[in-house]
Amino acid sequence: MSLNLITSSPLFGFTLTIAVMLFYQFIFRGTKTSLLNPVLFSIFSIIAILMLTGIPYEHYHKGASILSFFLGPMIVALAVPLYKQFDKLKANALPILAGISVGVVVSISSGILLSQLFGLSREVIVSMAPKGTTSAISMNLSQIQGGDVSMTVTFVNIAGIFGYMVATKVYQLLNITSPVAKGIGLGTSSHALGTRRALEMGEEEGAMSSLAIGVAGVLTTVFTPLLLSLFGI
Amino acid sequence: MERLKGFLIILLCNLAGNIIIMASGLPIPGSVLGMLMLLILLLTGRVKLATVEPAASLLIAFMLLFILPDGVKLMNSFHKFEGIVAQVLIIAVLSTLLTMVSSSLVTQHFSKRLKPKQGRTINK
Repeated sequence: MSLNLITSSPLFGFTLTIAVMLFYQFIFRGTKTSLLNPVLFSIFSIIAILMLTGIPYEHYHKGASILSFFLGPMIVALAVPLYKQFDKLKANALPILAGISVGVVVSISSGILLSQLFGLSREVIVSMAPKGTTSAISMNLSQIQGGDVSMTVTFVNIAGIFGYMVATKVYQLLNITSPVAKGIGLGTSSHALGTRRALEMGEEEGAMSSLAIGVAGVLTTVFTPLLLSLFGI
Repeated sequence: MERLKGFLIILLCNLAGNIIIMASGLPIPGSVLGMLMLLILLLTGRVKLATVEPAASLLIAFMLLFILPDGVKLMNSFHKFEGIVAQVLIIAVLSTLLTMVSSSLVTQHFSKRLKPKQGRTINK
C-alpha cells in the first residue's frame, strides 16, 4: 500500500515530530501555565496520531531515531553554559555544591525508597531514580540500569511541572530569601522547567538554576548507580 | 564552517567519552563524560568558547525535539502503568518536593554563613 510506503520512510517520523512540537510551541507561546507543557502534549499527540491511524511505532521510529541521535552531542554541548557560569560557581562554591549534592542524593534516594515502599517493580524504580535531572541525562541513566526510557521522560516532566507550580509557595513557607538558594532548589529538583520559574523570579535565580542543571546532571550520573546498589536494587 | 568545526569538537568529545565508558564498563553515559572533557578543554583554553558556542547553542535550543521520540515510546509501555498511576504520581511529586526543600535549605544555610564576611548584612 502506498500510505505504508510513505509512513515507513524516515521522512515521516522526522517531519511529524518537528511539526507537532512547533504546533504546541506556537499554541502555548505566551502562556504562563506550567500545566500546558509542550513536551507532554507533543508526546501524547503523536501517540494519539499513531494509534488513530494505525501507523506502527516502528515506522515512526525510523525517522524519530535520527532526532534521538543528537541527544548525546547535546549533552556534551551543555558544557558551554556550564563554562560560562563557572565564575558564579567558583564565587559561591560551597553553598552551591553542598545544596546540589544534598538535593541530588535526596532526589534519587526518595525516588528509590518510596517506590520500594509501594512495592513497585525494579524497572519502575530504576526509571524513577534519576527523574530529577534533565531528560537527556536521566534517560541515558535509566537505560543503562535497565529502566524504561519513556517512563523516565514522563516522570522527569511530572517533576518539572510540579516544581514549577509549587516553588513560590514552598520558598515562602520555608522563608527562603537568598536568590542563590531559590535558583539551586529549582534547578536541582525541576531542571529546565524549574529554570523557567527561576528566571521569572529574577536573573540571578535563573543563572543559578541553569548552573544547577549541569552540576546536578553530573552528580546524578555519579550517584544513581551508587545509590541503586546501596539500596540493593 | 565555524559552526561545523564546533560541532566536530562536540562529536569528538562524545566519541572519546563513549570509548572510555566502553573500555572501562562504568555505568554512566559517555556523553556526560564528554561534557566534562569539553568543560576541561574550555577551562584550560585548549578550545575557545567562540569555536563551540554556535554549534552548542543550536543543539541546546533543539533539546525538546531530541527528547520527544523517546517519550513516544510510551505507547509501547502503557500496560506497565496499569494499577500504579496514582503511586508513581505521588512518588514523583513527593520526591521533587523533598529535593527542592533540601537543596534550597542547605544552599541558604551555607550562603548565610559566608555572607557576613563580605560585610553589608541586611540582618540586625
